[in-house]
Amino acid sequence: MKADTLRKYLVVHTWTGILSSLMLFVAFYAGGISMFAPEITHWARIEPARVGASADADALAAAFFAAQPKTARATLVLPSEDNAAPFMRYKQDGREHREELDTAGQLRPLADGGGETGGFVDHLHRKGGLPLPLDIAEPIIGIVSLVYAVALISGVVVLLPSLLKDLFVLRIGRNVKRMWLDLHNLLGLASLPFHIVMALSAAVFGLHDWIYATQNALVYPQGLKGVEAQSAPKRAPVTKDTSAWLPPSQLVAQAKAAAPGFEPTALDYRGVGTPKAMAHVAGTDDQHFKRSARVGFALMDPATGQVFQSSYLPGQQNSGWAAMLSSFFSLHFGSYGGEPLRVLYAVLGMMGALLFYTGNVLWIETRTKRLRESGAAPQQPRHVRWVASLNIGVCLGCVAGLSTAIASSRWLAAGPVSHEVLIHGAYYLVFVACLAYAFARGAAGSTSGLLAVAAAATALIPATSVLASAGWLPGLAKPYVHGFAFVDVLSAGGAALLAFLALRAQAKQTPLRSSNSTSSHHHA
Amino acid sequence: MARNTSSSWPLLHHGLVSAVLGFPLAIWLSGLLVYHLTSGHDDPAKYQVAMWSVVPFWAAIVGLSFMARSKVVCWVGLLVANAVAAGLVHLVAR
Repeated sequence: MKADTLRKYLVVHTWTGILSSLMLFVAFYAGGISMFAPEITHWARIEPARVGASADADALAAAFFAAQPKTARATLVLPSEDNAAPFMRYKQDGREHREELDTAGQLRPLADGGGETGGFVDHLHRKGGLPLPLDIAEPIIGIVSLVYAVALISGVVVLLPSLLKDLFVLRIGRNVKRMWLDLHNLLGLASLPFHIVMALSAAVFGLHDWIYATQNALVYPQGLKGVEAQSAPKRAPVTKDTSAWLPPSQLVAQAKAAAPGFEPTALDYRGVGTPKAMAHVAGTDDQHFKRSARVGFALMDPATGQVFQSSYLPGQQNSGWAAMLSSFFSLHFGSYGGEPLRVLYAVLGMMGALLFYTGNVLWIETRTKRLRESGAAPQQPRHVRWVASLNIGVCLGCVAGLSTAIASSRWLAAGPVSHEVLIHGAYYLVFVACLAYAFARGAAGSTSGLLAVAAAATALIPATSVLASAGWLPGLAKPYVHGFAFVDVLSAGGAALLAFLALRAQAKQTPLRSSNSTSSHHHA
Repeated sequence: MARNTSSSWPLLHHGLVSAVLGFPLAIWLSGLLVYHLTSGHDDPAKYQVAMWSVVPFWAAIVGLSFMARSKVVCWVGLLVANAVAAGLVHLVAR
């Protein structure tokens, strides 16, 4: 490849990378953690005492529809490891309500046990850390993902010529920039397929409204509505009389019969009171691609139990298009191999975050080195110092903030502050404090301190589990389920790694600043 | 790295122009290659795959645009490609 082409793509890689890296760091770090979002929610909640709750889901659904004839949508959540008895969830007046049946057959509201901590992690992931409403942040992260895709293309072009020569070489030594470059290349190349999947799918998730609207205007003569109608499954109208519908247990049985391995977890009744009513049945299946992070869906006629659309039913995609579509979703969510794959995705998410961090360090090191070589003052120019502070402050602020938010949402679940305010407050307070500290002390002066804070905050999570299980925190005690082990072990490992890096940074702080390069190798 | 920063500005130009003109081009390509030229119009997954395909087309167009030798080549190439793809979609759309 011509040297000029390489130079061009290196410039493109540098600038697309530096523009997108900080939001991507947050998206990847929070995304890795969100692999265990349901476990985190369960870990942080005070489980409401379900004493006297009926286990009869059929009776619950019948009583609910009789009591709420005007409800258009309601979800029956079936019992599971983190839910002792079935309950109905629905929205009214903009608020979510949950009801269960007592053993006497009466509906009663479910006590509020705290909020969706895992949901906060997931939203932070989807917003790339921006403190904006989801519908505003999503197109932004969509554009950032496209920039990230261009960074991947240009990064691969730049790496190609040296690919065989430098692959898997990790030159840890006096040349600091070379070490960061090797680490960046190794991380980037080893997880390239993962990054391609994430860049493209995240851009789609962020921009699909714009894309559909433009396709509607430009490529479908009959409009998108016409295209949808052409492919919509033909269905007989559904009776509005919910008492004539099949009981949930029957729908569950028919869903399981339609897909071996499908274990229904919730029945989402949609369009209730209309001829197009459906039971959108969610269920797990560890062997196949799934439409969302934990579940796939059977779209069923609630009166007959017929599965009228199986595109999202695990393993039941009846066309190449449907198989491809479900792979796109599942490859993003890591929902095709059960727990081991979720651990792998969590680790890949952390590796991705580290890739963006090392990329920024390279940008900084390149500019510092260039100054040294040109004989200019050893002091970095202001914009380089700002990027360095921003990089360390945002990255470690995100790590420390998320750990603090998760731990405090459990510690203060019974407190007077609402979950929403508490978890946002905890995250952004720690995040902003870390950022401010990074700017006040400079990157070199703040790294070891911020690493130590992030390590301590992250250690709070397994420490809370241990103390609560030992009975030293009576208010926080709860039965230990096996899903918690993922949260505890991963955060304990993360805390240990951060503590190790903090000690190393402390020891190296002075030598690192005055490190001198002996090589004239130029890259990023 | 670009020591002579002035030589890097055309890349910003190419990137922005290809991001803007590459979007309708990717839309035309998705309609043409993924939707209209394939069978299975009654499959509810197909138009969704067509939507997904826009992003890889778009990213590839932006990625390739940096090869353009000049600003004129960049504009002309993208405008002609848009016109051709749009014309083909109108020919084959049913």
